[in-house]
Amino acid sequence: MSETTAITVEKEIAKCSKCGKCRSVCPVFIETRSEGMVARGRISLAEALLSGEMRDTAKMRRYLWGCLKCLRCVDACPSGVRFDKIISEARRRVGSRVGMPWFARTAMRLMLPRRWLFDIAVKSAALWEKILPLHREGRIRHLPMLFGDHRSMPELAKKSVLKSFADYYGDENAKRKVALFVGCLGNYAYPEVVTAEIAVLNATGAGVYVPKGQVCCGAAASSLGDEKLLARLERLNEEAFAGLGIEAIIVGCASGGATLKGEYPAITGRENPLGAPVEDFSEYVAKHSEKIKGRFGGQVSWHDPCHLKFVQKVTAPPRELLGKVADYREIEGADYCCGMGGVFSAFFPDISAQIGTRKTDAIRAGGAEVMATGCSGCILQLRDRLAAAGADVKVMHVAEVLAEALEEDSGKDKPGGEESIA
Amino acid sequence: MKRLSAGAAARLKGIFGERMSVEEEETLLASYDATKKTGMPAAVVWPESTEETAALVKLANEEGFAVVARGAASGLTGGSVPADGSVVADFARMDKILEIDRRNLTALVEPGVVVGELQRQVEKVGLFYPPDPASNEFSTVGGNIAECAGGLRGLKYGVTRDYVLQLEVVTGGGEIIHTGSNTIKSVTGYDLTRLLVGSEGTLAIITKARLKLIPLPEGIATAVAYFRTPHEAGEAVSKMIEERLLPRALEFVDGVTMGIVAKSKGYRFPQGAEALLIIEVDGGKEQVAADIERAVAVAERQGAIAVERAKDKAARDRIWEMRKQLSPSLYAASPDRVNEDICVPRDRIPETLDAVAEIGKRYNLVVCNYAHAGDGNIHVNFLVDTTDSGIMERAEKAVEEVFKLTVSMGGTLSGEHGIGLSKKRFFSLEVAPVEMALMKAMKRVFDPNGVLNPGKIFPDE
Ligand SMILES: Cc1cc2nc3c(=O)[nH]c(=O)nc-3n(C[C@H](O)[C@H](O)[C@H](O)COP(=O)(O)OP(=O)(O)OC[C@H]3O[C@@H](n4cnc5c(N)ncnc54)[C@H](O)[C@@H]3O)c2cc1C
Ligand code: SF4
Ligand code: SF4
Repeated sequence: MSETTAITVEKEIAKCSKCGKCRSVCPVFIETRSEGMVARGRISLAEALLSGEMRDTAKMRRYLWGCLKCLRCVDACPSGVRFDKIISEARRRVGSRVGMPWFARTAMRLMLPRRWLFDIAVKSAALWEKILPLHREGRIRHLPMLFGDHRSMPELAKKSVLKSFADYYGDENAKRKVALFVGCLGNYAYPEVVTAEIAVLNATGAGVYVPKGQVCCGAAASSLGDEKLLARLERLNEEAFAGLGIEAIIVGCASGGATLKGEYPAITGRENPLGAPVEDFSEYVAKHSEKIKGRFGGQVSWHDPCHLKFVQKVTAPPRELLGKVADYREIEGADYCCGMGGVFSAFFPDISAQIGTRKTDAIRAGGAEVMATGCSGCILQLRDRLAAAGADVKVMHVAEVLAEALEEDSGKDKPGGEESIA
Repeated sequence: MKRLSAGAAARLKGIFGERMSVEEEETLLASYDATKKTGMPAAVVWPESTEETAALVKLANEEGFAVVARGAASGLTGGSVPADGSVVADFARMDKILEIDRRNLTALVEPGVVVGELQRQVEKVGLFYPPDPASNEFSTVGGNIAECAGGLRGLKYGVTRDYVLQLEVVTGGGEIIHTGSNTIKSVTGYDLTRLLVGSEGTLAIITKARLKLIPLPEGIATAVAYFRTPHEAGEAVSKMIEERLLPRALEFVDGVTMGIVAKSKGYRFPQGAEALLIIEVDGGKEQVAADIERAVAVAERQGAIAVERAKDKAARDRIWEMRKQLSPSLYAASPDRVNEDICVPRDRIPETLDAVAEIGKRYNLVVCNYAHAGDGNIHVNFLVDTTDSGIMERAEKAVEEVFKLTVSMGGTLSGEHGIGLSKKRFFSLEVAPVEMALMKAMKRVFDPNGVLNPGKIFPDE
């Protein structure tokens, strides 16, 4: 730990008044009712760990890793404690001393910076899908060797986005140009989301680059306290997005956006390390929404991804956009966590599922028909939990809803349109 | 650090199994409360039933260890800070609302239920549990009963004490007893329920409570009035009460506190305002509209320079959110602040505020006050800048003077936070030797071996 981080983390720890308010918002605490599973408790443990008073034990790691990093506690904390700083440092300490499960660490170090290796790993997972009896409701368990996870995962795309998409979409002379950061799940599992994002961005009049050199954002590495890996991924992404002459980098995945917006400046000490400001997809589209029209058939509700609401503080734009094209219905508990939390769900599948179930209960109670959201992790978790509950609720990325509306709109203008018998 | 004997630990494990731990992570996590004072327990258990709790207390008597009940540890006087070597009973897992009885307007709950959750559940069926400490979203029913928590609606609705009908508790001797009656009235024998409410876990451990509910008021109206001086705001409070207005909340905040919360949380207040009153009335829809205007008129007659009315629920929530930020903002501004919870007869608020200001001046301390003014309950804070050597001693002397002042005004040391560890050395300022002897005798009746929450309330001998 460098001198300066030591001081700031110490200062953040001292700011905690131990009032207990974080107990009222922490999704993990709400399920476990365990003081070690809430910011106040974790801060107390981190303090003892960092001062050398307490050792790194299995229990300590359970409590330090049993956090979604949803940052609800930071949002709610009346004393302004930057819990994110404290937990990262504490994890780095336990992480660097004993490491995360070694296999995951090695796999991550090797694969995340190298798309081709990652591709092979993903492919072999796709192969396993055929060979091993891993089927559950037609989906496979995603990258089992990476996460040892037990949940059902989306089917992998036949071809990843970065392998099959063009470098640029839109008018060559577009006044506004942006670049799309697709994210790992977007790349391998949800290419249709990427397609929709591009279509919507094009509809706003923006030209869209899809830089092929981009790699994983590093959220998982950061969660696991692997700062070196995070820094390497940042550098690779910096190269990938360099020199494009773009006004913004658009991220459709809230976790990715949070990492690019928050962690990259923190580790590089630069304001826009990727060369252009990073914006969430809905944030950007809402600013240029004149040409977003058409109707999406049916009612839509919004799920606030934690990393969008509590980290990026983006809440109004997606609602505005959905309200524009659909019958928008706000549900109670819209901002309740889905329980995914990246690596959290890999380490704590049961708690993750409980949180997810609380969320899906709220979705069902609210009578939602389509849940739109803005984070790949949330999409994955919500689909999994809603399927487990046997609920007939469709989960879509906000871009998909907008794209469908736009399509319907252009369909209207098409000569001959539906009448055509050819 | 004191440990349990191997025999005692094994017997505890026998009762609680996996729900007992002597791991240092767990004991650390049970060592503090919102005072940031600490004491290291030897073990933590998580009871799930009254019987287990009774077995725990019996074992404590046999093996000679202390038992400290723990709710959310949001206490402000160190009530749940365990004595070294004690066993903490964390009630997080006894968190069920067992019954909401709509015909008798009561709720039967376990001690670990979070107060805010209870409020939400009863409001869903049109009922109301009025006690509303600012910590409602995280503090527990058990902790609220043990501290007789007050809060933001005391003026009209009273405090926790007024809503506890029956208790099931385990006495310090390990017996399960039931107090009170599931009726609105009862004079069968001594009122043990009232004795137990506010007893800070020193007489018995609460394992169930039947609470009184009332119908949820139809309408609510909220306004904030700003004044040039705290004194004027205090006078406005007295006037409102004199004019037989009974707002459900009358919260006072002084200018220094306003400045601090404005700075830390970005609130903006009218220029020249050195005090504010939050006024909230409830009742029938038309009644509240009339009442809030009457209250505002009184405020204006007393010199209010500006009034804001909450237009909707969101606006009202913002006002209360600001109110709930006060204590933490002061903490952030001055982590070592001294924070007291005195209560005086309501008509003496203006005088008390003036005298406290004078004490602050005399000891060269920054004073800031906020108050449940309708209840006469003033949270007096002395901010402490630790770089100023000798300030702690000055603050302590000033606090002692505040307590003396309070008692001389006919007031009390603690309105709602309890005595715990923080105020025990001042206890005899208010409680005379004969009364203290009587209280100690009662303690011996309930807890002959002194196993429950030792070291609290009474001054060290
Ligand atoms: C930000 C903030 C705002 C606050 N605002 C208010 C306010 O407006 N009004 C107010 O009155 N208080 C307020 N408090 C103080 C505190 O929340 C109350 O004292 C509350 O009642 C404590 O409840 P708890 O569950 O946290 O109990 P704890 O702090 O865990 O325990 C408090 C006491 O209760 C005992 N206890 C707990 N459970 C049991 C049980 N089952 N049986 C017997 N004894 C038990 C403990 O041993 C201890 O003595 C505030 C605190 C904070 C941090
Ligand atoms: S809300 Fe903030 S100050 Fe309060 S206990 Fe949690 S982290 Fe600490
Ligand atoms: S970041 Fe989320 S999960 Fe972690 S302690 Fe805070 S509220 Fe709980």
